[in-house]
Amino acid sequence: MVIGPNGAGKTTLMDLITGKTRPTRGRVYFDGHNITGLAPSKISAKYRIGRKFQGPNLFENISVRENIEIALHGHSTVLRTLTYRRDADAEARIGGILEQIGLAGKSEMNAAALSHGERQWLEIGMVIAQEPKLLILDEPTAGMTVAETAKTGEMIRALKERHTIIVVEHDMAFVRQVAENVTVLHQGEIIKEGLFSEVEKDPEVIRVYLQDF
Amino acid sequence: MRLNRKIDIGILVFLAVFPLVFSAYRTELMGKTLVFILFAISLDLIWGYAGLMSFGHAVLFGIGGYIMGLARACADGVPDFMQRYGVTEVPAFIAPLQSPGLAFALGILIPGAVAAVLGFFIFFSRVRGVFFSLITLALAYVVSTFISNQQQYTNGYNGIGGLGRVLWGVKFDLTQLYYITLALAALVFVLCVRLTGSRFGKTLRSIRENEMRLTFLGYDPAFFKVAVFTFSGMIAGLAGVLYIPMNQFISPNEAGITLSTVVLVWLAVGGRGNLTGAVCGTMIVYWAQLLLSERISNAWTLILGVVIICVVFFLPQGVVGKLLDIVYHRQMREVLSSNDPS
Repeated sequence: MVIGPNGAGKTTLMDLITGKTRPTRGRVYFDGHNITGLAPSKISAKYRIGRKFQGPNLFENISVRENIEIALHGHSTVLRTLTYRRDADAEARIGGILEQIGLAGKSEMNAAALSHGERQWLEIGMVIAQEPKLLILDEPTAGMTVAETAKTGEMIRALKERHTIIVVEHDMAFVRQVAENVTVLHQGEIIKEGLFSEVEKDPEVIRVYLQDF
Repeated sequence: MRLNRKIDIGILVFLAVFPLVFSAYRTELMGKTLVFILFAISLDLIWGYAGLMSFGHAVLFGIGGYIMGLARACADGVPDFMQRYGVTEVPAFIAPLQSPGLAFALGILIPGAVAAVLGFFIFFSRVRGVFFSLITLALAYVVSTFISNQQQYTNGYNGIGGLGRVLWGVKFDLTQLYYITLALAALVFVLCVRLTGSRFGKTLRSIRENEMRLTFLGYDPAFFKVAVFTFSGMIAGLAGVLYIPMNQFISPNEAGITLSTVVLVWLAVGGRGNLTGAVCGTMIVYWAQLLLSERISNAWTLILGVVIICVVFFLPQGVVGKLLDIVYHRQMREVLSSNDPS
C-alpha cells in the first residue's frame, strides 16, 4: 500500500513500474529482471504486471464481457487474436471474473452504461483477467460510496491470497481495512515504511499527511 | 441472429435477383455499386473498427484499378495512347501484367504491399488521429497527380478507356460479370464478418476506443494497425481490379481525393463498424445520386448535400448504426428489468 499527499509521486512511481514513463535516473527491477524503460505492452505481457488506472480507464463502447475478454492473458499478438476461440475454458474464466466483480448480470451492457463504482470494478476485473504476478491498483475506491468501498476492500482481500498487490490509496478507512505494509511517500521520497498501526503514529507522517484526517 | 445479419441476407437476395428484374443499364450501375461496396467495406475495416480515418483510401483502389487497366490496355500490344507519346513496345514494368492471372493477383497484392509499407512507417512512428488523415490526404493528391503526369503510360487526365469486360483473360457478358462480382463481394463480406467478430476484430475496436489502455494489457497496437491496413489495402485493390471490367474505363479521379471523400460519405451515412452500414450507405448514397440526377438536372447535388448533412447531424452513428442502437437499448431495458426483483 502506497499513501502520501497530493503530488507525492505515487502515480509517477506506478508509471515508472509499468513503462508509461521512462526514468531519467535509476533502474526498475522486477523479479530479478531489469525492466527499466521497456514498452508498456512488453512489461504487461512478458513480466505480467497488470495495472488499474486512477479513474476508470476502459473500452467504453464495448460490452462488459468483451472488456474482460480482451484482457484475458496470453492472446495479445496478431496471430493469437486470429486463432483465439471463445472456448469453454475462456468462457469459464470470463464468467468467474464477472461473478467476482459482481457484474455477471450486466455482461452484455456497454461499459459506458455502468455506474462509476461498477466501472472501477470492471477495470479491476480486467486486471485480474491478465493473471498478473504483480497487480497495481491506483486509487481503486476513488469516487465510490461507503458500501462500494467496503465491497472493493473485500475483493482486494480475496486477491491478496494469490497475487502481489500494490495499492495507491487516499481513503484511510480503506487502508486500515486491507493494508499489511504501508509506504508513505512525500515529494518523491519514502518517509516511512511499515505496518499501518505503526505508520499512523509516526509524527513525520502525521505532520505531512495524516493531520488532515 | 443480430439485426444487421438479417439485413445482410435481405440485401444479398435483392442483389441476386436484381439483374432478372431490371434492365441491363440498371444492372451495370448496380454492378458498379457492388464494386464500391467492396471498397467501402475495406475502409470500414480501418475507419469503423480501428478508428483510422483515411482521406486517401482511393489510392489503394486506384493502384489495383490501374494495374488491371494497364494489363487490359496492353493485352494486345501497345495501345494507341502510348503510341501517340512515342512508346513503341510494351514497357518492361507492364509486360508481366500481360498474364491475366498475374495481373489479377498483383492488382490485389501490390495495394496490400503499399498499405503494409505505409502502415509500417506511419503506425510505428506513432502517428495518430488527425495526422494520419492528413498524411493520407496528401498521399491521395500526390498519387493522382503522379498518374496524371505519366501521360505516356496512363494517358493522363483522360484516363484509359475501351478496356472490355474481360477478367482472368476470359470475355464475359454483363450478367455473368455481375454475378462474379457479387460472388466475390459476398465472399469478402463473409470473411470480414468472421474477421471482425474474432478476437482480432475486438482488439481493433479496443484500439479505436482506448489505444493507451490496450498497451497495458500486453498488446502492441502498431502491429494490429499494420495488419488491418494491409488487409484493407488488398480488398481496396480487389475492388479496383473488379472496377475495370465493370466500368471499362479508369481515370486519376478514381485514385485521388474525389473517390476518397465520397467513400467517407457512404460510410458516414450507412454507419461505421458493423459492415452492413458500409453496404447500405454505399447503396443509398450512390443510387440517390443516380436517381436524383436523372430527374433533376441541376439541383440534385444541393438536395443530396442537404440530406447527407442532415443524416450526419441527426444520425451521427449512421442509418444502420441507429437501428442497432435501438435494438441494443431495448435489450438493455429487458436486462435491467429482469435484474430488478420488483
